[in-house]
Amino acid sequence: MNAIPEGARGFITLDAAACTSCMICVRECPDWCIEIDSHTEQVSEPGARRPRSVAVLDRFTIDWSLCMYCGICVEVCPFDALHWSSAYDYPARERRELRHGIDDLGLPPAGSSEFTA
Amino acid sequence: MRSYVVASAPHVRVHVRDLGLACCAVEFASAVASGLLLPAPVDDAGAGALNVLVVSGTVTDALAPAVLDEWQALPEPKAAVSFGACSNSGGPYWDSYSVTPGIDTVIPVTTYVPGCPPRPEALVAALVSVGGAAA
Amino acid sequence: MMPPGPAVAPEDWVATVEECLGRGFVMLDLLTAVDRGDALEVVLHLLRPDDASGEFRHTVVTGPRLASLTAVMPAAAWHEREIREMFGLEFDGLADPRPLLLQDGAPDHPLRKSTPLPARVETPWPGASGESGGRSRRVPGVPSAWSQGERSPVEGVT
Repeated sequence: MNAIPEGARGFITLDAAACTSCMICVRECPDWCIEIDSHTEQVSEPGARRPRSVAVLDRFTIDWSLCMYCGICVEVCPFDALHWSSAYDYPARERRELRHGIDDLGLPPAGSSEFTA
Repeated sequence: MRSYVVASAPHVRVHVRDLGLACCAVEFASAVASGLLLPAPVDDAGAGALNVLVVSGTVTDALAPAVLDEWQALPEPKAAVSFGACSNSGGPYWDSYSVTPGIDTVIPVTTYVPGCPPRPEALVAALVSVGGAAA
Repeated sequence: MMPPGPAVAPEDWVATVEECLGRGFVMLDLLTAVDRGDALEVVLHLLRPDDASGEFRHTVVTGPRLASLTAVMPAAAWHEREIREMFGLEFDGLADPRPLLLQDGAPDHPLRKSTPLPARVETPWPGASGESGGRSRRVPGVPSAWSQGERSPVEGVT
């Protein structure tokens, strides 16, 4: 098997802790393949005069059956929450299995070339 | 119809009908040219080896009946591999007036290979997935 | 982006192209149209095989018709047939106006900006969620008139 070149664009991982649900990636995606649901919570911090509004990410999906791997989402993310991975081998038996959520996007897909347990 | 042996998994032997309709088809050619798939004589693949229809590229509504014909003409046992975003869902052309939004609206798909295009290695992984399961 | 040079008046279209042909620009490289909203811009690029140089010509058509180039350049027929079916522009003097690419059941003139793409009307734009105050945001690729009307311009879609 040939070595996969470094920097190959096969999969995009999500750093959910860095994501602020700002929706920029969703709106820039030419394919409409990213979806985000979020809500805001009030966080009271000691010493603060009033509670702070914090966006909480409820759902983040990328539909790999639609994605054209252009990388615009990775480029536009102001918080570096999206990163390229060179994982390429994650075929699915059902099309809906190619819609990956927060838990699936944290690491390259299980069983793929880039997956490490 | 051509017969191939997967170089990295020689027990996987498949008869492939390669339906290359757009740029993803280049990746299929690359898998053969780079030796990931080794051509095998049809007899060598053995009777009963899996017949695989690989649809790679953009399927338009005008071409969809031809894809269906190819699938129906393929003898059992058979499997269909959808290779790349266009055949998976329409891909970048999901909103087009002329592109079929996924070949699974036309034929039953056994395995969807994501990518735009997927790597040739991804084709091999899919063939191992469908051919290995059948073997 | 506009092609270089001033637009040719539609009534001078054939004569202008004939003049280019006379100077050796005999190879038809591109003949297409752009929907500018209130007009159709027809764009032509010709090549001169002698020195591989090229010339752009374009004309802006506000009416439904333009003179066909097939009288001076028969190769324009395919391109004019394509422009006719994709944009709905009629070519006077085009001997064979049959559709070239579209099959039965295709929308009329799909490359006109006023032709709705049903998939874009039916599919909720994921970027619309998360908007505060219920402000609606313009959906990319969907003219606001498509979704503001009481019923969708796409038949069968409400």
